[in-house]
Amino acid sequence: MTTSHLSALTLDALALGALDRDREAEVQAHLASCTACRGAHDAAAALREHFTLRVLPRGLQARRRPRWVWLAVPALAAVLLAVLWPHPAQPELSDLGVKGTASWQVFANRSGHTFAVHDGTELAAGDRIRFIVVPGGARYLLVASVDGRGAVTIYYPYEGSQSAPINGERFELTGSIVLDAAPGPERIYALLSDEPITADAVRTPLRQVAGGGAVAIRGTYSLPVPVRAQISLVFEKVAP
Amino acid sequence: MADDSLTILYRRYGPYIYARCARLLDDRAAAEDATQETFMRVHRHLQKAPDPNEALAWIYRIATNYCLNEIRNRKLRPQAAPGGPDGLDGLEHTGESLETVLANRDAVARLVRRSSEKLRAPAWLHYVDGFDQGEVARVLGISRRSVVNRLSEFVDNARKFLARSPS
Repeated sequence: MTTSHLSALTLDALALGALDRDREAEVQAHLASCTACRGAHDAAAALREHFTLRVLPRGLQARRRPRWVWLAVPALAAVLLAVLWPHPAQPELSDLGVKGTASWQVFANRSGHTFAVHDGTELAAGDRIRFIVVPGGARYLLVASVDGRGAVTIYYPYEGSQSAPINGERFELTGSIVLDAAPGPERIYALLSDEPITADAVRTPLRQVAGGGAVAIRGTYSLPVPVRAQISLVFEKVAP
Repeated sequence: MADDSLTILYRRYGPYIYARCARLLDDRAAAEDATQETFMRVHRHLQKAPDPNEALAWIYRIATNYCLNEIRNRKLRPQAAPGGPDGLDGLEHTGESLETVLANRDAVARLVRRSSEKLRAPAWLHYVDGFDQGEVARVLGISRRSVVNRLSEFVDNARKFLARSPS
């Protein structure tokens, strides 16, 4: 088994988005044709999912830090979960943006069905969304949103105090977001920078957007925050 | 390191440490403990590792060494290994070639358990996890020549063990 199958290290590197584009294509092609490796890939994903859903919350709560209590608060708009659905077909880099230009692609999963999310896509409570970001050379990422009820949420790093470092030509956020039932538009912003920016610097303009209601949420494409690049997308939450 | 940074690292890499430990220990409860222990040992390296590949190498190095020591110390059975008290019953004089035994993940896992500390991690990574020699070298932070030598020593030991008479 030393030469014909993918190693656990390679499979983990794939999941982390740590493979270069050519190697990732090779690995994906192998997975498509090798039942054993696909099984190992799925088994590893299941273990990671178990950790994120079952072990991680306990581990964080065990630290007894007030800032981690959010994990136990059901009223929060979203909960960070492991990737719970099979990877969608990975888009080619050209689908996401040319090198040097920041871009992203957003996917949603509903009852096991995965589809791309674009401006205006209708989503529902319980849908899970996740992101693939092309940083375009930026070194830090912060993803935040404002929803129809005016709630402001830092999605990446989840409830973090500042943007997190990212690497590679394409960065796949390891968690997904489960949408709550807040109706109306929700706009999500990706802010890419060369240095970390604080979450507070983003929350303030987001609250101003929230104050403008649904019209402002739908019409505010960028925030007055000095960063290298911004991307945003608005979707509409409707009753399922 | 600030708690926020620790949290970010734990969220990002904890699932990979856990999956690694669970595969090694074949015991989810033990894997939870091993994940905490591994993270405490590896987090400073993760903080300094901007490249996820480098971070994974640290995770594999530290988790593998920790879990193989746990297997040795606690007599945990790696990967559903059958056998008697040392998990080796039936390996001797089975009539199978060394190559056949080395292609059997469970059989190798049982042989690794009785190997010296120096040989355990390279043998497990190569024969059980399927790493090539370059990956083993990178993960363990040793030269490829050292990997070749240690795998060769492991194979020699395995050959001698398989040829010995049952007691």
